[in-house]
Amino acid sequence: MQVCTDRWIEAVTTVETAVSRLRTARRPETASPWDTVASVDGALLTLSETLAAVDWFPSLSAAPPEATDRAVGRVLDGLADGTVPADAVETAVAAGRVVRSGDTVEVPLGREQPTAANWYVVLPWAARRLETAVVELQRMGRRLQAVDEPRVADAFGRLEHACRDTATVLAWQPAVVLWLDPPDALVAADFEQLQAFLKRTVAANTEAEFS
Amino acid sequence: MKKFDDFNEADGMVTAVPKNNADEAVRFDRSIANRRDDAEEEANWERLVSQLMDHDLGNALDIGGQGEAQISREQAVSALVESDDQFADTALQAEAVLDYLDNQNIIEASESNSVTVLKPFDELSGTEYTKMYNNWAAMFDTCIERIDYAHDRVEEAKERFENREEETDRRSSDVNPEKRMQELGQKMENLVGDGKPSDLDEADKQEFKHLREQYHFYENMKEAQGPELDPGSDRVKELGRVMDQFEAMRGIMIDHRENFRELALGEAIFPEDLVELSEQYAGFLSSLSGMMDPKEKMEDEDDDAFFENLGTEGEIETATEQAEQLSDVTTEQTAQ
Repeated sequence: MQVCTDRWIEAVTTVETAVSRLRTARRPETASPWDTVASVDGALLTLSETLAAVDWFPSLSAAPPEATDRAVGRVLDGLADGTVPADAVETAVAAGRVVRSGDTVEVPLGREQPTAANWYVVLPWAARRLETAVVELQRMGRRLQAVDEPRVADAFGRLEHACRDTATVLAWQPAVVLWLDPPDALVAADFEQLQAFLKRTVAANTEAEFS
Repeated sequence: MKKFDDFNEADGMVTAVPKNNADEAVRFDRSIANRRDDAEEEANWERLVSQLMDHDLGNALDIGGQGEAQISREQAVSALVESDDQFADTALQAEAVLDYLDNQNIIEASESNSVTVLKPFDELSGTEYTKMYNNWAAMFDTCIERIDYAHDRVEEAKERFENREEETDRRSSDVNPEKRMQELGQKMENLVGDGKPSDLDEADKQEFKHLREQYHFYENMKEAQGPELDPGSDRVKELGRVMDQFEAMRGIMIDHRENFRELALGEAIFPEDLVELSEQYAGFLSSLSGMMDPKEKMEDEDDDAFFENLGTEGEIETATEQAEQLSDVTTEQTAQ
């Protein structure tokens, strides 16, 4: 299954928007908190489905420059918040990490470098944004409890829990892959090349007849 | 084919005169063919020879059945022009340097379109090519540099793992979807009671829908969570093992490099000692080969045979012993 960045961004912004709308309402108990619960539930379900469908993470042959990763992160923030910073787009496009077509900017999640590296930015990015939403959900839960809405306050507690769990898995999975399969094929490549170099010398010399 | 065959040396410089009048004469520092002032056993041309061996990550080098190693003249020229050590700025300069080193019996570049950088070391004694012992030293230097580079990369990787571990305060295993699903199932049962979900009033239906979505969410998370992985530890152990191998090999290679440099100065070597040296060298390389390729060993040796041999002498020790024996022989030879 091809996973597109848009789905991640949309799910994250749905959570943020729903929470923000309720937070700015003067009386949360009248601003349809169950609608907020439904929106957040839907977004989290989308995220969990998307994450469950990812049965592979691409290996990176080399660690990308941190500045490029930062630029991709800023592009994602821009796409989520509505204003994409031009300098970040320039940097990311130049590195082949972001595709610009007219006014549209996309962050592809590829199997090969350079866009394969976007996996290791997008997932931690989504995790960070959800961690922020967790704080808002906590606050909203307390407000609803205070206005004697225990059932919906409990629902907000569950959403907070689910958001935190999603953020944990989103941050953890790519980190584990990087642990087990670090982006330095160079280590393996060097070892193999060194081995090949020595073995050729070994073969030549052990086969030689010294007499 | 040689492009330069006349070399005029004056004031520490060489002027290479081209065979073809259409080419220009080339001037360069003649110290490339000297031994270093600060380390008289190391030859200045070792860096250059290493460059030829390392070109295209060693793939350009053709190692023959007698231990001789050649590189095509075209590749040799590219290697010198592309080198960061600025052995030559142009292809013509590189040709001149190669022909001068041939003139000095450091490499053999006079015939065909290939450059011989290594001749079998047991054939060097008593020939005009004893400087090639330094080329053998350069081969070990090339390997040592590769080991150092790989070692640095391994250290970087290890550091990165450790940083990641510090950055991530919660692990995937801290998420417990099954427990959450049980709790949510219980909530739904309490909410529905003896009836059916469709019997619930509007407010309860909203809550039931929420609980059910949460339940499905954790179902997905259970799948997304995947198997619990032990991050880092195995990988770090593996990297540690690789580094140990690198360290063991590095030490052995440094010894060998020095042995060959001493041989380059020692010139007088008795043939019978050379035979012994050759055999021991072959044995050392053979043991090194076994040490270097665990995957092949896994394929060649079944588990029973492996288990039976477990506890016998390790390959690293064997290689080290071979190296020590070799050192003894070369030390005796250079002393004679």
